[in-house]
Amino acid sequence: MKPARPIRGLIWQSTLLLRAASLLVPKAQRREWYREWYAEVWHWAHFLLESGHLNSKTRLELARHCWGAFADAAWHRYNQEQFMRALGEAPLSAKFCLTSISLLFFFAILVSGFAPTVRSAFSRLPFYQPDRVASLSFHGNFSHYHEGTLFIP
Amino acid sequence: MEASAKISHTSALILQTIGLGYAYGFDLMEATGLPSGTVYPALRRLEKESLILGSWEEKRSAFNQDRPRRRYYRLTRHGREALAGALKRYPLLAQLAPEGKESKPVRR
Repeated sequence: MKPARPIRGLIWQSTLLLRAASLLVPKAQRREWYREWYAEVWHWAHFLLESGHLNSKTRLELARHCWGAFADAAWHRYNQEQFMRALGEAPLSAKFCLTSISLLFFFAILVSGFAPTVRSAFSRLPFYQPDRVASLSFHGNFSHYHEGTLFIP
Repeated sequence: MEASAKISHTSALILQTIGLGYAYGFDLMEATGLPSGTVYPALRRLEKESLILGSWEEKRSAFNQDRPRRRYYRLTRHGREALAGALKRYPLLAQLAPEGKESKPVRR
């Protein structure tokens, strides 16, 4: 079951990724999990070789697929859905829900204050009457000048 | 709650693709266009809910071809019922169905 010579490097790289991802999988399921992924990668790499589609693009594609092993491994470890269901099934009151949303809302406002665009949009302008501010320039373009626009008291 | 009411659109698409004869992870990824990070966790979830059944390929056939054994998935009776429910719930799902495995050239 030794991989063909031209794809040994590719298999080796993929194996490395899979081994790293497998550390996330609980020990009891790790062996089977790794075997499934390894078999998929092995077949995919051989298919690329035999069909003449082995190039840098397909190698990268295979590496990207291997990255998905981390998501799969994490699912085994944390089983997010179970967690979300457990949270959803807990008997929580409407008051709790409203308080959570309010807290989240105020937290978002608080955090957004640090964003430069938000801060400048809400900060006070340095002019007393911004609608009466005139800009003077020695190099200005007056092609759009209309009579009566310029007001000098 | 009915099983079909719980499954997401993505899970339903995967169920449908398995129903068409695509039996292993990379094959499903190719048929659905979904990334491996989506397909595999969905397979685990579906298997946990007994909508699909995963089984290892026979040792002998893989050994004879000098290759590692693959894990194949197929729909259970419960899964077929869930798929029928999902097709009612997501009517556009049928349009997303890849062509049947039988009409495609088979990868070894």
